Amino acid sequence: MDIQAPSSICEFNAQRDTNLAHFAPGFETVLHIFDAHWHGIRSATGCCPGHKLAISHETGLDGEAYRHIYGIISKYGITHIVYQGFSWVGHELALNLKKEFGEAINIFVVTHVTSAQFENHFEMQMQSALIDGKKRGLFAGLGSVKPHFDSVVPDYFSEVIVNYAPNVAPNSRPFAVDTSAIFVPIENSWRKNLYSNLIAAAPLDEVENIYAVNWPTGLDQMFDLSKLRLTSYKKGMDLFSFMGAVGALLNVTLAECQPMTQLEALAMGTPCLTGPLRMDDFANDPLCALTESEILDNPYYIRKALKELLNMRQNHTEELAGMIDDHLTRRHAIATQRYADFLQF
Amino acid sequence: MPKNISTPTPADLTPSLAPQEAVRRFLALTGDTETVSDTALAHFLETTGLNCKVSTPLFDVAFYLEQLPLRSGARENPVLHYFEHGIKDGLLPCLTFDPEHIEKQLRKAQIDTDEPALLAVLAQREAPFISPHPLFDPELYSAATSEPLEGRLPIEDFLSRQPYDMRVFSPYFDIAYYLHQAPHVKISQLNPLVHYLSQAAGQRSDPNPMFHAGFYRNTYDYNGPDALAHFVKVGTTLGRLPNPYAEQELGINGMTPDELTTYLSPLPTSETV
Repeated sequence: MDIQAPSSICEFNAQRDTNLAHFAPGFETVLHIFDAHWHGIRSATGCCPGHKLAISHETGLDGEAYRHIYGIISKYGITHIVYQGFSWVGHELALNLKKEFGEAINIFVVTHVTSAQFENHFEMQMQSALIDGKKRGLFAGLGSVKPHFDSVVPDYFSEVIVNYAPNVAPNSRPFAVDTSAIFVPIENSWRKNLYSNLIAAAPLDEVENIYAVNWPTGLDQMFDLSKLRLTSYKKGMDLFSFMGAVGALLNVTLAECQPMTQLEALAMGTPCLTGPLRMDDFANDPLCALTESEILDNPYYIRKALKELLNMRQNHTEELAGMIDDHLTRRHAIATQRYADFLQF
Repeated sequence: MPKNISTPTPADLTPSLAPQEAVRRFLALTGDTETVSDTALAHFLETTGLNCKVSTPLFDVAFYLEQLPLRSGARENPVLHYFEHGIKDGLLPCLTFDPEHIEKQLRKAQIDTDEPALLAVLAQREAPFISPHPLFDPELYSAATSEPLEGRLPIEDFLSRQPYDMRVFSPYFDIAYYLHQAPHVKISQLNPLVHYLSQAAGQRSDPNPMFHAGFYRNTYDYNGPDALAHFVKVGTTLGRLPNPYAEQELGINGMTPDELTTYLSPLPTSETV
């Protein structure tokens, strides 16, 4: 008998959302809800401890999906629901969950947006709904992965929510690494700053190959791009393997919170150059000092930072590997404690 | 109260015991005595309708009489009627009784008997007990019961316990989930399984968070009284889905009967997150 596929996206504890997750006691009754199509947020949530539920702002949720979500919450004794990102579909679900379970569940929301993205008015509409929901008691807490977001919306938790890196087994890291190759896995958009990244990297003697997933259209008319290699978009362990096989990743973008690209690379033992992330928890972290470019829209400064990073990667390999491991150990401890504080465990 | 029509088992259709002898055996098994005299039997058979008293909740006189045509039960001895006509007509001695399921249990336990299903359940007074209904697991119930059963069957203890506490009786029936949907059952401390089975078919609240009765009925065109019991008895072996998302969550390799049982079980598992 052919069974009709469900009309709503409602993926509970899908393999892709759980196989790179960290374990932390106390999170057995936590359910993270996120949008299946918001890939960065989904990647970040996949690393968190707790159960995972992907829904979709595109397909909405029908009666069977609601019935299933209620069943999941009951079966697993869920007490804390954490929205990772927010949509109108999520809002309607939150209202119904509160109606169904009342005080038995506490609903929290973690946003992954910066105020720079408010040019998309949808983001402001969501913030407005969150502020209103917090005031009405629908939400027990609002948190952000952008440091000091309470300066934008005072109702937010004052401490930043810290993202986990993927929980990749140490033996997943490739044995052979081409430290003269860099990987630029960013899309060609104004915000993602692809041109500045490529212009910064191409002239460096330390760089022999640049792998990018998007071609900087027109740049070859004014710039030598002979080192540039176009490669395909990659997913899952294919992406991780590629990250682990290069000397560094380049991800200096104009607006960012805590990029998963950086954390995925670190999990594979590869450093990633970013813009200034300004995480107070890592103010004195040597890895952050080495991997954050102060200036974003000027390739001169990006190039300078990348040269220093590659010098470390090529000539002080063990020291850099130790910095990465120390950073990840600290990061994960802080992430767990911060979530526990936010969720009022 | 709904009419519960069951399918008689082969042993039930060709009973080796004459109806009166079946009643004698029934009285012996429920009266804690090896023999029942002709006088005692005759005295019992004289009682009719609601005046007939039996000492096992596995035969619910009021429930049985409700299955008979209007007022005809008042003139009958219900136990004799059951062995004489009821089995063949697919009538049940109580709500928590499923002859097909019992037959399956007997085969599984390799108990070769030509007794009617009711007598076979009553006769097995030691573990492994015969489960009389797909949603009642006697071993699970016994394990959850600290006090001795004192000669009663687990199902008899279960049906006699009023008010009903929260002790587990089935890997498929999530008491907390059911009571969340039917809070009046919790307040009045009714037996949740009896309450569930006494609701009209198609109007029962789901007793398992991962089993969507509406989906099961619609998808597999099932029109019987209890979708969950049908899934437990038949659906699992046919690889049917308990909800539209089960295949996605379990994968095709996870659709074995054992995996499905674990998936539906409300009991704590070693699963960690």
